[in-house]
Amino acid sequence: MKTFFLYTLQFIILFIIQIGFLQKIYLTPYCVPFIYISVILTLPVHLKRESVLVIGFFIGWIFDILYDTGGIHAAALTAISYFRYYWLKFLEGTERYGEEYFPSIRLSSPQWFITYISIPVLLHHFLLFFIEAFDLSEILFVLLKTILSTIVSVLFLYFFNLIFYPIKRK
Amino acid sequence: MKSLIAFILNHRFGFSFILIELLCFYLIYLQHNYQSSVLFNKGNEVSGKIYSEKNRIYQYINLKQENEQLVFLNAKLLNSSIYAHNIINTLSYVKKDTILKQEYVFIPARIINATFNNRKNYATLNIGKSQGVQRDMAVISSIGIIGSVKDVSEHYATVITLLHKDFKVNCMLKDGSCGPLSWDGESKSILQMEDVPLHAKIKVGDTVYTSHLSHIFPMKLPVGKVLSYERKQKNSFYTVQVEIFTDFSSIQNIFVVKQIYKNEKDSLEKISYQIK
Repeated sequence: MKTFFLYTLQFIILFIIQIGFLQKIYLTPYCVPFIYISVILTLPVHLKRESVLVIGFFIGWIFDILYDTGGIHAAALTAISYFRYYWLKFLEGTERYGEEYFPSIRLSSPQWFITYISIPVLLHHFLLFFIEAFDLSEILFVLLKTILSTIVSVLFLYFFNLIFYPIKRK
Repeated sequence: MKSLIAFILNHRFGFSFILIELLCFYLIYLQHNYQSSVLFNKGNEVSGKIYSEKNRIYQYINLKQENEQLVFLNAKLLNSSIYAHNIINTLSYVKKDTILKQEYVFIPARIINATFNNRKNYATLNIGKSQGVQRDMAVISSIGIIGSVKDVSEHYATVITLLHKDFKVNCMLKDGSCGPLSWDGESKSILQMEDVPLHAKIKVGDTVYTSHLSHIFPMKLPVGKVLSYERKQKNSFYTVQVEIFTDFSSIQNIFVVKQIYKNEKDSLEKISYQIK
């Protein structure tokens, strides 16, 4: 119950930041960070993988309704929810997961966490921008936009997780 | 049969992934289908409520700029009114109502949400069907044009803005040469006017207006000013870079333009142009 409350709180905070601030900041058309992906990435490792898919779909869909984009966010986030399972399995070689484990800086090293979030964020942004443009002639624009947005998103998520799950000093 | 069910149950992760993705792409397909967008009006209603709350907070931030624009508009209106003119010949100033045909009605509204950093950008208005807004109406501000109405719910309406991949509006230069204005996605203040004939007299800094060829916009509304123009290799047309007057990140007070005789015009054109 406490975990459920924590994730809902995290979602609400990210939601407010995404809708309230990130949509208002306009640097270039090449840099549009999306940070709500953090909720999916930090779900407990031993949560049923089918439930992760469903949660991913609904979170994406909420943003689709708000941005009036049909199902673009839902499609990208569902793909990430699917990819997460295999990605965690792949990374298990460097990190051992206990029963209560969830991916965070507190329970692992900053290097591991950055590696863990950057590939899914990159994939998510690429899928999102590619489905939005849906045009192979714009592939260079999409790639540049993906890379720049990913850098900003990963930096933002790193600091967000530092603040949201503070590291306990021994 | 038993083994088939067992197979599906064993691979339920992959199957549910494919099912949900299919659902997502169906939703995207619905989005592009005008007839089915009625389904989305319910969602429109909900997000509209959220945005009008958010808008109450943001409204004050841009108040100063908005006020300056309103003062500017007021001054412009006063200058063109009867008070600003010295009537020399009273006989010739009589306004005969029977020869003036009002064609457009301007409905004041406010933008309560707008995106401007996607490839397709939209805005949400605080008025809807109950205030007489319909699909494909023009949306303008006191200094420039905004876009056209896409979907309408009971109390809200969404607008396709100028900053949209598929939005095109026919514009006119000072000397009368026309061309469609569209957005290439590079900068949120610069749009491209294509197909301007080579004999057109273009001057940097000239104002660009909406043309008489536009189906939804009234004629001669200011859009922006000419920034530069070039002839792309071996093209027989100029491409003009236009800096638009509208600043989408701060604009709030706008007007929806209702065309009074639109239905009559449309049905007449349908008969003669054989549009299906």
